[in-house]
Amino acid sequence: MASTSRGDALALPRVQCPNHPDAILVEDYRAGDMICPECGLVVGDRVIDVGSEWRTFSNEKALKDPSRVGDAQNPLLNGGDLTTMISKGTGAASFDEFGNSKYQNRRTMSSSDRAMLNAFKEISTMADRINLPRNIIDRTNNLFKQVYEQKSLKGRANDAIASACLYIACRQEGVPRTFKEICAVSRISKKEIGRCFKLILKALETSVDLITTGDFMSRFCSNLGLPKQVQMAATFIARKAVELDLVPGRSPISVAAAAIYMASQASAEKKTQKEIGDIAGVADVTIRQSYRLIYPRAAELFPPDFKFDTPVDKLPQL
Amino acid sequence: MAESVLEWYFDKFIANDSSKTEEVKADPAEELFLSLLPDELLTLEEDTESSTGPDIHSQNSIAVVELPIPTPVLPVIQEPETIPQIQNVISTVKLGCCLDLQSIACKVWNVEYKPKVPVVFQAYKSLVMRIREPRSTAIIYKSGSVVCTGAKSVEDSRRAARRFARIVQKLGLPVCFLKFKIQNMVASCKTFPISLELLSCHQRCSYEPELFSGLHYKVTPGITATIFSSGKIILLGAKKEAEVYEAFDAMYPVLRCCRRLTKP
Repeated sequence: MASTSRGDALALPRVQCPNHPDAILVEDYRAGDMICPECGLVVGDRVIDVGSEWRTFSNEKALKDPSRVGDAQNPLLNGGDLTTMISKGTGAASFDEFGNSKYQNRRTMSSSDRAMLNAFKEISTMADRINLPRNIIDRTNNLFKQVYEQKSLKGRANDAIASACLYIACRQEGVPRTFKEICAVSRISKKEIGRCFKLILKALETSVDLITTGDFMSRFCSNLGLPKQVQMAATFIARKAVELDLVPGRSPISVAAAAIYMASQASAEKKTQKEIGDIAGVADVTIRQSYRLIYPRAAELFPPDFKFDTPVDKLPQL
Repeated sequence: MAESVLEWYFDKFIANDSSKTEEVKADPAEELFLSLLPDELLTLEEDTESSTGPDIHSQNSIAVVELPIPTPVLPVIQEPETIPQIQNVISTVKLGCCLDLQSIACKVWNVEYKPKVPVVFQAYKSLVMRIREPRSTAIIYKSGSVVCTGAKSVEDSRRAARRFARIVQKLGLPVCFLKFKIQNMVASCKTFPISLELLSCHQRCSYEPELFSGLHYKVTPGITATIFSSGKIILLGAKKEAEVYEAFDAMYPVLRCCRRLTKP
């Protein structure tokens, strides 16, 4: 980025202040200088300004954008695509007598990366549906790129691999989504996503942490519209139930759903099993089963400072 | 008349022929077994089962397996349930000739053959034959390959495969009994309640509660154990009984570490 002073082009690969070689130089982009912060010496000059050539504002109705550079490159993911394409013509000369454009060949942009670009688009669409932040999307893209380049899952549908990568990225970032939630935004079945998930873990030789009940509490509770106290109580109940080993072998999602049910029934905002089942993606009989397991020791499971709207002995027994 | 000729042919050339069969020697009980008609065999079954069962077993174990089958080395506090029991043995054998599945389906009872419809259990275009006595099922292909499943032990699997070969032979086809190989053995046992969350931190474990409630544990490259939180274990992929017991012994200390303490 910085241009070295002419004499030193070959000897010194980077500029430094002659008096303070260790000082990190401050760049003054307006004047185009590199300044040493210790002594104020202007070390390098004629720094090339890499800012944009034009400033375009969105409400300006410019017919054409004078900027001569395109979108930001995505070098990590696309393999440095620096091809030149001929764009669609604008003048009269670019159309032949029938009205078709003379130069039609705009197809072969980057044939090797086409599938990958499609997959990135699909990932972006899926993530957008469940409002995932940019870091998860980037992680998913990276995972997909690694899997794609390895070619060990070549026969599988790209959408399936993309969905599985999304699932793994959410897990790795510490905010796991259930398989059913990923299924809801993808066209692939849960079985296929599960298969691809296991294959990807084997191919990339990574592993993921086990899911816990607390990972899903905030999402489920806010989707149900439950207040913070109920959410905290449900988290506490679920954790306690797992610690006391009341629910051996039950999926953490089912335990979380049962805990939410118990907490909501004890508070003013009572939710039915069906509503909780719809949000969590578990059947209401599953909630009933898990609830039956935690009900006998309900009194111990509630946090000590919980305000009961319905006392523990009046909780519904199913 | 033709049947007795066939039996004679079978016994003389195929049953005892060491070049054609993988077995080192056929013991006399087997010969007697094979030389009789099926209905006679059924009446004799009780006698041969009880008296010659152990003999066949020990003789075969000397002939085929180099080491005697080791009993599992387990700590003293074991109940009989915690020794893995073999539940299913799957084997394949080649009959050495092409078969006309349609004619077999017509002539033999207890056979399913639906060539146009892919049934769940069988692949396309294969015959499913069942016999009652070692209760087992065979999937027979046109090329003469047979997959024999459902037998409870190695010896039963072998006998069942021979029975299937016999049934086909009685229809007049020149069968041989080639390349009998045990492909897979399934064993199950019960231990103490296990904490799968603790166990899943181990490498070679794969536990996804959302997908399946059991944990898959690769004991050795060939053998996988499916472990449930109640302590029931299913061992898959062994080719010999010894492998099953070795795998269980290797796995047992790991399970002990992850034992789930029962609540007071």
